[in-house]
Amino acid sequence: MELTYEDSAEGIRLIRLAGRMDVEGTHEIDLKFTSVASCQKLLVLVDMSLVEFLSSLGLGTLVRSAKAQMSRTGMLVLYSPTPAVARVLQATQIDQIVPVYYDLGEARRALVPGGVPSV
Amino acid sequence: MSRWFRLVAAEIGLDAARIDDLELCLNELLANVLNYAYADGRADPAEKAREIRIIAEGGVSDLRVSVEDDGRPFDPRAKPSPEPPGSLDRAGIGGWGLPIVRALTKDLTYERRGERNRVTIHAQESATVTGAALNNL
Repeated sequence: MELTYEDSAEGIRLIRLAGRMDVEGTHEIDLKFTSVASCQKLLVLVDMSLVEFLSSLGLGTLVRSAKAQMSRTGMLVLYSPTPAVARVLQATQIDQIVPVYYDLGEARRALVPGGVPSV
Repeated sequence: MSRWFRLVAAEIGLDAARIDDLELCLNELLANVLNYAYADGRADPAEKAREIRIIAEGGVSDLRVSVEDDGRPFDPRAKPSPEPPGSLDRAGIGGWGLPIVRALTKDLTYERRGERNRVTIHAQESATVTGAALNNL
């Protein structure tokens, strides 16, 4: 599993995940993901477009950081999950409590109301 | 295991979405076995070698995949379904494995055969998550 991130001028932290969030993959990125997504109040956009597989363990990692941001009055949204990952989010109804977007501009506007320039 | 299952399922002619779903369910069932069937948290030098079997049966329209283990009895059907989270506040961090399996498969059956557990999942006819499946969380 790979994790990279960057902070935009608008104050959004874009985290890109790539690979399989199975047991092994989730263990590889869990600590780093928690560190970059949860340890302070942030507006977090998690790019899921290169995640091929999402296990219950991986789902827990995402939910934990989303809850941490909510408690810090920050926010975490998911962007562009693959169909297989989207089905897991739908099956668990996590997509109803953690916002999922397929349009990057829309995802950014959800994090920064009032709009931000498109990339 | 995932690679083996994907090869078998592709050979049978299952579509990619159902392969993805069943592979995930199989991973979740196997993780349950590894985490709970044998665990008492202590290493036992006298512990015998354990055996877990994964069995695929049927064809494209009626594929069934079983996970068989020789651990303690555990009927996943008896595990109560959690309430759908409703809000992020109430959402749990863990415990999503069986709800995922229930939602992405047509049926989940369990048998205790002698000293072995056998959990079987039945593939859905399509990979769509249905309303009925959601209610079965």
